[in-house]
Amino acid sequence: MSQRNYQDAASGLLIAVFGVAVSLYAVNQYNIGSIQRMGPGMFPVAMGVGLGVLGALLALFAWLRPGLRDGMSVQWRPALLVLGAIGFFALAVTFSGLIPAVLGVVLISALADSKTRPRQALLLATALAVLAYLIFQLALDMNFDLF
Amino acid sequence: MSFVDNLLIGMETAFSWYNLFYCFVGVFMGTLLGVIPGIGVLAAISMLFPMTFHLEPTAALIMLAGIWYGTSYGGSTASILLNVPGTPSSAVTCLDGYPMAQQGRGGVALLMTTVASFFGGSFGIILLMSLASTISHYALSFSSAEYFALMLLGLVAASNISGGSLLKGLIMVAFGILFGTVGSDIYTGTRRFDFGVLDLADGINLVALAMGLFGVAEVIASIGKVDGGQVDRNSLRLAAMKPTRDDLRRSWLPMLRGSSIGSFFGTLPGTGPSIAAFLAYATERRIAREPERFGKGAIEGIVAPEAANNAADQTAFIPTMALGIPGSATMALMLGALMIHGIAPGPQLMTEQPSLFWGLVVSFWIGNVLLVILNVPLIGLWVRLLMVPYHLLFPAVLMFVCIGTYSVNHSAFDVLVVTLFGAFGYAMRVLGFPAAPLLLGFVLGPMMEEHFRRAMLLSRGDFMTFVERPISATVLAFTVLVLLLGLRPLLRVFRKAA
Repeated sequence: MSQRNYQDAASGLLIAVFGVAVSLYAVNQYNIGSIQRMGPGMFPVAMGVGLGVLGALLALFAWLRPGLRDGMSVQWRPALLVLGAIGFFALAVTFSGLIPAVLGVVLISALADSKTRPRQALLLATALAVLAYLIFQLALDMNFDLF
Repeated sequence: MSFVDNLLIGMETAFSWYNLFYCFVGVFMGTLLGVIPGIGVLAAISMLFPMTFHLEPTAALIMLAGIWYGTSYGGSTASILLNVPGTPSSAVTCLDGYPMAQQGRGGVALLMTTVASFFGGSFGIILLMSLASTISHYALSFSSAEYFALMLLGLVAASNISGGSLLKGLIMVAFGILFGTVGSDIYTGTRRFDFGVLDLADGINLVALAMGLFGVAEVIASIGKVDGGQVDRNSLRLAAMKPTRDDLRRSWLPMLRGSSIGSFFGTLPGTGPSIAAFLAYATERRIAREPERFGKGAIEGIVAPEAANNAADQTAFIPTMALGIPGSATMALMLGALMIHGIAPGPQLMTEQPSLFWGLVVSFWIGNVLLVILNVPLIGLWVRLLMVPYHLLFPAVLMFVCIGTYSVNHSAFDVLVVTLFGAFGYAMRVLGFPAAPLLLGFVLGPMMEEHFRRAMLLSRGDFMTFVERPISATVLAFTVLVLLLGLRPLLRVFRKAA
């Protein structure tokens, strides 16, 4: 039996909607100009339309295509923890300084892999914080706030 | 200026202590990151990219290039010893390299891939030296129409060949161009898609985008899947590396064929070292007298692809340096580095900055020699690195990603952009969209827009300008051809469904 490729169909539709939204936004916000004298809006609108058409085509073909793609497996835990760790760095480096930011990014991201023992993570974080201080502050003289 | 003069300028530049040092740093880091599975070339280059901002442009490029071809050398180590490709371009090397290691011939395999890599690299460098100036000479007469056509070909080819469906590739290119329009418009100064955020006035930071898309997305996908492994230490002694007379006899021609295949595909937009390596392997297998030996440790099966991917690494610089048009995402990053230093890429580059171009070319030789030294006697060091468990490695990688991005502009906003593109890149990866075309679109997009708008201005809005100029017309014809080739599988689906 032919199975539909729902992943591609859904992502194609989402992309098409995004493309249309971008074009509408660009049409309203920026001057399109003429073909001869293009305004800042022309290229964004063209790309939005392009995404709309391509996304719709992708969805259409996925709907017609027999056979299912290999199951999609999202690694939720690594994804969220790694992204969270980087987000934490951005905040910590602004409101605090380099050392807390490094400790945070290492400790949070270390949780992403269940193989890491708490003690290992602590040791690693300390070692990397020292390393970061040595490389970026002392050797490269980048002038970070430390704490 | 004569060839010899140019070469002398190049040697003078490349042999300065400053540039030698950064060449070494580049190939060393390249090998290091190439050996570690789960960190590809693009991730490696984007991670080390911020470092190059503090260097002179020539040294910056020498170092980035060193990382680029260095990863190809390093990538084969993991392929042979662990059966896990360190980089995509050395994936084929697993097929015969790992069986060789299992038969206790891992040392021979490592040595011969290094030799083949060096051979292929040198082959590519010679082509680069002899072709680049000729091509850039012709390119001086190109106008905006030709540039637009060439860039379009590059983007279409990249989305077609980089694996997966043409539609998905094109979608990623369109995303890339769209992200490239963020920031001030070059002709009118209008701020596009900045949503009132001051940090977006100059556009999305290339480093942050590349780090998120390649570094972070790759780390997430590798967690729990890649791990340090067991390696037979006996095969790593120098004595165990000595190839037999038979090995050498069998390797000659495959290396030569591999280098030719690699050089050809390196220059084409959108292909690059991975495809070159696959084709070189396929060719050897087809013409072999005993094809059944392949997959069971045939030496031809490792030397041909390794020669091919290293030759392709070098010839990829031909369109990038001679025309200013990158054929792959990595080359786009190289151009990005040039532009950050205020150097306009294009055919005038070689006449205006001879020391940069020729210095770079000569540094390729030095880098390749350094790589042979790094890879043969120091192989034990790299192998020890292979055994560091990944779960201790990736937090360190992430730390360097964060600090690296932050240090470019001292901007926490850029680090948030990494998070955003990390999420986007990972989502697209899960859904089977290739990331490389996006980066290519991002770098080429603004240039394309500029040329397209200029071409339209010159022709008074007449699209015929692209077809009336012979070079532009030829390039566009190729583009259509590539598109049609890519559409074939889709049409088949349609017919089946009907």
